Amino acid sequence: MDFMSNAGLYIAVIGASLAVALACAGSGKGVGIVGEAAAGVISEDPGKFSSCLILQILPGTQGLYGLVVWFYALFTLGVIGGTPATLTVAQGIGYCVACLPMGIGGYITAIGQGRCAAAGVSLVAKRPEEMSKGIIMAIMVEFYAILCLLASFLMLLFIK
Amino acid sequence: MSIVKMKRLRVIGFEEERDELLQKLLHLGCVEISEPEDKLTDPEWAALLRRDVSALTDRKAEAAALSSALDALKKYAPAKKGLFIKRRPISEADFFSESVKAEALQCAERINECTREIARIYSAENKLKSNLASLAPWSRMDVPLDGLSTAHTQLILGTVPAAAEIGALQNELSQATDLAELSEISSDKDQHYLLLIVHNSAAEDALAALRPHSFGVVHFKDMAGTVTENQEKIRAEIDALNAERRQQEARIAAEAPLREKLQLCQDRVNQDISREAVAERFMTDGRIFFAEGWIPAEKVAAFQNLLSGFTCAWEAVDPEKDDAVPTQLKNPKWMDCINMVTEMYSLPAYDGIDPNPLYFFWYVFFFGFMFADVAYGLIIFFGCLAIIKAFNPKKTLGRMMHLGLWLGGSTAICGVFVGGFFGNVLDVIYDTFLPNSVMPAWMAKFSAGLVVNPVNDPMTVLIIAIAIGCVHLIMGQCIHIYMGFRDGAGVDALLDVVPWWIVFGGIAALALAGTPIVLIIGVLSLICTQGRHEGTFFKKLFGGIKSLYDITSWLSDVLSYARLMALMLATSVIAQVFNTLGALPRNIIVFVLVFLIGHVFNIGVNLIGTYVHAARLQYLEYFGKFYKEGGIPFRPLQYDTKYVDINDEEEN
Repeated sequence: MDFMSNAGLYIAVIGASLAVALACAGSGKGVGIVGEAAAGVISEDPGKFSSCLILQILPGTQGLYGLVVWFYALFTLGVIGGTPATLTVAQGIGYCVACLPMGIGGYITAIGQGRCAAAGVSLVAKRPEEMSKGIIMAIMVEFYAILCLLASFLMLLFIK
Repeated sequence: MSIVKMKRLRVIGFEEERDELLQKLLHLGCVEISEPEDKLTDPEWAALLRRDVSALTDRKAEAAALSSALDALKKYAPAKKGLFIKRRPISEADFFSESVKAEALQCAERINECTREIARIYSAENKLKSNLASLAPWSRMDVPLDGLSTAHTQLILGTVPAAAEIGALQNELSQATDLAELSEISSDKDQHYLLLIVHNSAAEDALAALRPHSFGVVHFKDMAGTVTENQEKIRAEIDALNAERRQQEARIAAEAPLREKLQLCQDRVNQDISREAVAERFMTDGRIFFAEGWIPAEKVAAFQNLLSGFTCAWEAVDPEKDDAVPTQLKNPKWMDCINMVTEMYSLPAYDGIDPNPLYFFWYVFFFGFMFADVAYGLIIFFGCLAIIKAFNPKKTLGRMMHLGLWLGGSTAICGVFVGGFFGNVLDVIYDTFLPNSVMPAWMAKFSAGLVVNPVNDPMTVLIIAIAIGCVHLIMGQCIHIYMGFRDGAGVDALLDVVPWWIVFGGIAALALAGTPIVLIIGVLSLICTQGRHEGTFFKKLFGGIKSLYDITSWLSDVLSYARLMALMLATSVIAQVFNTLGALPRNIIVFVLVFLIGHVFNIGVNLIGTYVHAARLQYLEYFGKFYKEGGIPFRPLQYDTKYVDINDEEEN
């Protein structure tokens, strides 16, 4: 029953995959939303490219956080750079659930942040001098992605 | 450490002295002239005075000429420039020198002339290029374009859509007349380009036969010689235009040495513009002017001094109750930088309280607490210091950099207590790259966290954060009480706050000693006091009971301070993750690369996040307890320059 003895590990890896996949999907969508808005503004005034670019990369961080959780989980489990750990199914579920905040939270916050940053892009179009406020509003969303990262990370750190 | 006391100012003087007075006011930089809108709508005022005229339009035209000249210079002779503008000191006399202005305006006119010429060249070139494009399909034809017809035949050029079949066309043509010949010159994805040779007598029949196939006749007017000859001629003309354009561009670039004068003049014209804009707020009947505005009480003496040279009548009186008095905050210079955080929220109302000294240290501390890393703090500190030394920025950027010094310092100091140095990079380096050496004792002690290590013991950090939050909130309430006593409503303010303190004491007593008595007293006192503004007894009682519901908003206020912990942890966790990732391949080059990228990212994300959340705790939790917002910023007529610093020390 090789599969059953490794089932815990597999379940844990599913969680890690979800963390990176969902967070990256969200980030991709978020960055895309801002990009569409930015392209419209740049077609009017190419000089606003750098301001728009800064706003566009903001929803990209969730994907990175997802990658971090994925990497950290695989590293802790020994899948990367070591011998894979043997986990009970319960432990596997524990690791899997620990990864979920980053996946789910990352997906949703990235899209929310993308919308917010796209609104920031139209703010830049009308009043370029108020760009910092657009960034600040988008960063407010970032906070919740950071909380998700923290939750996932602390669980991975302390789950035994 | 306070909101500056303002006086309402009214001045009546002679119209011919107006411009000189305005120039002096600009120099003094502390008088705001109000819009006369309300007076002008009053028929009695309007019968006497009208809005003054000014040279604003002329100045704006000058400013537009200068800025388009500077744009052209930037395009054709880019200056080496850093991220920030380095401001040059200049004396007031030089700044307002008419000869410099005349020279700069002439230079701007020369540049703008070239720019217009370049625009003309571009449009001529576009026209030639479109001619060239329309000739291209015909280049195989070696008949002169002006000799297309002879005594008996006509040569007609034309196009049909690409979908048309040439063979079918030729068939149809031959059925209509024998005296015509259709041949294809070329074709592309849109059209076939055709030459129709036809006898004069059959021309109409031939064209009628072709018309159903959308045969369109093409004319080349004003062109002699063959297509190829024409193409060559146009190419030569384009080359000539290009050469001419480069010449104009070189002429613009040659003006580059005058760039500084243009910038200086732009600054100067902008001062003129703000002066003229104020001039339009003056009211006049042609001989005298009347102006109304605000001046800080402490500047009245300086203003009186300034007016000594003018023939005028004036008064500076205390504001009346419902006047919209502008707010100016006055604080020690080192605290000035916090204004950028205050202004982002809202200035305090004139009868409110100056929040700057009350939250400056809280803000700096919260920022440091959340960032908490020695290395990051030093980077912020020295980064800001370097920018201040190199560029001496003013206004928002200058404030930002000065605030950065405080925030960086605070971050580094907090970092000492929680063992942050690029996260846990010391541990990682010793573990990965120096496995045989042992960390010095002091370093190990630092790294473990002198007070607490946020990653290993987040619970302790949470408790500290909540405790700090309670102190913060209580201080906000104390300010509320102080303001109550200041404004003669002390008892009211005490009743707002003290019952809540009894409730919180009661909760503590219940939790620690198990006695509910204090809590019961607290709840009763809330019920008795919180509805006191209502009318009837039942409304008062109901208001009191309803206030118990506010316990949830207190709970959310207190829990909000958990973000202090969350962001402190975020900084160290993200740093730690990058350190761990970098160290995995056990390769020093990979480590340095990941280290650099990771920590730059971490500083970038957390810098903005921490800045915002440190501010949010002030805005919502702290200011909510006492702040009276909605102040109108005081905007005196004053120098506001971009490229130069006017040396005010030099007196005339």
